[in-house]
Amino acid sequence: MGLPMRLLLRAGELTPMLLLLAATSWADVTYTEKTTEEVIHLLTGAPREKSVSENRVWIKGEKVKFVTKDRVFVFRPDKKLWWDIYPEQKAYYETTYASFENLGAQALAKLPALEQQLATLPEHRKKAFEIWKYRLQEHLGKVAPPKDPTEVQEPAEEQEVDGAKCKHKVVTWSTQVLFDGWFDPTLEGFASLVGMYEATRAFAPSVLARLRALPGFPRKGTQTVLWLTGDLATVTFSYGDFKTAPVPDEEFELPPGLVKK
Amino acid sequence: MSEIARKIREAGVVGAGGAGFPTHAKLSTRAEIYLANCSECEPLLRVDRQVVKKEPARVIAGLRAVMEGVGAAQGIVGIKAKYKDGIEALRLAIGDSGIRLTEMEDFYPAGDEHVLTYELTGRVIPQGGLPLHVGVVNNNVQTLINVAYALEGVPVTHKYVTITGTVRSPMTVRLPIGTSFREAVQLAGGPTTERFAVLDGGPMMGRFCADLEEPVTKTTNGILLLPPDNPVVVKHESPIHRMLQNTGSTCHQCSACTDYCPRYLLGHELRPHLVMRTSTWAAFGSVARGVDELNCCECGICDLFACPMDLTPRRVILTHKREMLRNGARPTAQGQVGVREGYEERRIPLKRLLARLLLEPYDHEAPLREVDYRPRRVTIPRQMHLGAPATPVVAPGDRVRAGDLVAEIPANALGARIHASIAGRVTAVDPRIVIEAET
Repeated sequence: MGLPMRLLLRAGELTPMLLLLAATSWADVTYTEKTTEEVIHLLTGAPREKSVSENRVWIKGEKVKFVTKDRVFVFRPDKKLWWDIYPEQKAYYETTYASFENLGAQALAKLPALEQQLATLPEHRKKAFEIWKYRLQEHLGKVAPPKDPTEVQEPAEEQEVDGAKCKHKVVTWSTQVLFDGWFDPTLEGFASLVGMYEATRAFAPSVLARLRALPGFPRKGTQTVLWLTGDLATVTFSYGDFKTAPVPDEEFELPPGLVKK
Repeated sequence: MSEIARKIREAGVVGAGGAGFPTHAKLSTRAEIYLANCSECEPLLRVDRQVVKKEPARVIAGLRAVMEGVGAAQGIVGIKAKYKDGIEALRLAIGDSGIRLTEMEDFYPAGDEHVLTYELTGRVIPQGGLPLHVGVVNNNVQTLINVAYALEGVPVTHKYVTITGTVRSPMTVRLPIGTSFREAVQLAGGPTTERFAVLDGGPMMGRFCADLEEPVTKTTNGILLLPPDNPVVVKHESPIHRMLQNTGSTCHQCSACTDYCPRYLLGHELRPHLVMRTSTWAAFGSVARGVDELNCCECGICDLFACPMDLTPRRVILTHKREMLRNGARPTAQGQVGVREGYEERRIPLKRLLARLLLEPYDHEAPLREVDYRPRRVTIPRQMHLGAPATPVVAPGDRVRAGDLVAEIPANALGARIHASIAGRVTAVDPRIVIEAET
């Protein structure tokens, strides 16, 4: 988590979590989010109901902490970095925004060699690689779409989710539905975390801009991502056990006794 | 050494499923459970499922013997549920012996000894450990057939092999050890393409061979020909320095390589994505990474199935692993670990693996053919097993009969005896024992 393509490719597991966090950035909050791990279904054919990930999330202002099965992610936009913590190993990895940008630049420099190597891939995978390449270039400002392919549709539909009246919003990119969510308009703060998405290149720039502008935040929905096998994966997400008590600053610090790798 | 172990040693029986561990050495210990492995998870190979149908009584006789050898109270045959004929034959052979038969799902790598042990017994081998650490010993069913023959005084001279891929008539045959791959491929009608890669084994863990001059050994399960543009071949042929460069630029730490790693799922401290990260973000070559590449079973899921960017975690891990071994690191059993959440649904169905690797066109039946093939010449490696190479007991010019001892285990060493697979005259013993048939 935290690196661009992980977010881009595995948004099924992670991006909904980020989106939900965004809305509560104005106040301290903790909650549990559940997403279907669509990539497992995609790769192994395991029934969707058997592969649901459940993560606990803490937010304080811009800071975000995710606790997954065996890893902890702490995002610190104030320090322009994030930590990937492995409690079992008593170890952590630090990624700065700057080093991240540098990796992207390196990837761009090696594209010709990569293309040569990937020339033997099946067609659908070549197409996926082309999309990845385009997005990398787009994030690094090397290309710009001739016309913004992102659209937001707001059907006049309401649905009650966990006691809150939610509005339906759909974000598409080049006609492909990327995000289909039920937004609670009484909650705010979605835009405050878009900066984090930008740092991690979780979405195309045009999508980020639209997400930033959305009022409220989604309580449930689906998200569609392109896995680089060339397949689309649609993930269902929801959350619960929502608490708005103050979160101590210590939650977003490195636990003692960890070794930096 | 028990009488059973002595007979097995004399017959030169080694693990036929892969590594070639001398079977008699397994009997020097005590265990509660003995597993017979008929999971055959390598895509395209068709040996185990057919030999159990052909020689079920010997599988069970062999299992009963090794159970007695280690004092095991339980014997379990693990076989994929889809091998219906084999299951029926084995059930008849098992009778009321008390041996259990467990049907397994069709996934990869069901045959990995850690996975197999967990699937059949529910016991988790500690990382760096052996099945014995949880009271278990296992053997492939072909090995058990060889054990049964050993008890009848028949040494290991032949091997069942599936010849498949881009060959005209994929088949499974029993060949004299030392038969060249070239002759085997000709038996299967010859190659269907002008250019091809040759593997000793299956696409996931098979060894790439330089050409068809390789001999069939005691551990050869398959001779697989694949076209040069198959993903398995393309990935193998990419130079490691390029793969490392690509790792540095395109590994985005999605961690799919870890999520589907069978050893990680069994609770081991092996996280391929961290090895990739280290190779990406730090100087390559350092062993102080805090990840345990020694736990890698080299199954290839990480690079042939999981990685969406077509990177090669396995090769990167192997590079680290070899370096660690050179520096004196050795795997050590580290406590009991727990199976991670998601183990079951993250097992890779064989059909998915075949599709991912574009191997479906080669998923042939490869039926067992009763062929009494007698090569003009056999080339027998002196090391077809773990341990020390066998010491020749014949010299160039000697005449041998099929089954005669031609190489002995060196004194005080782990190893396996070797026997002539054809009658004829010995023409070389170093580095391989060559026997020419006499007309």
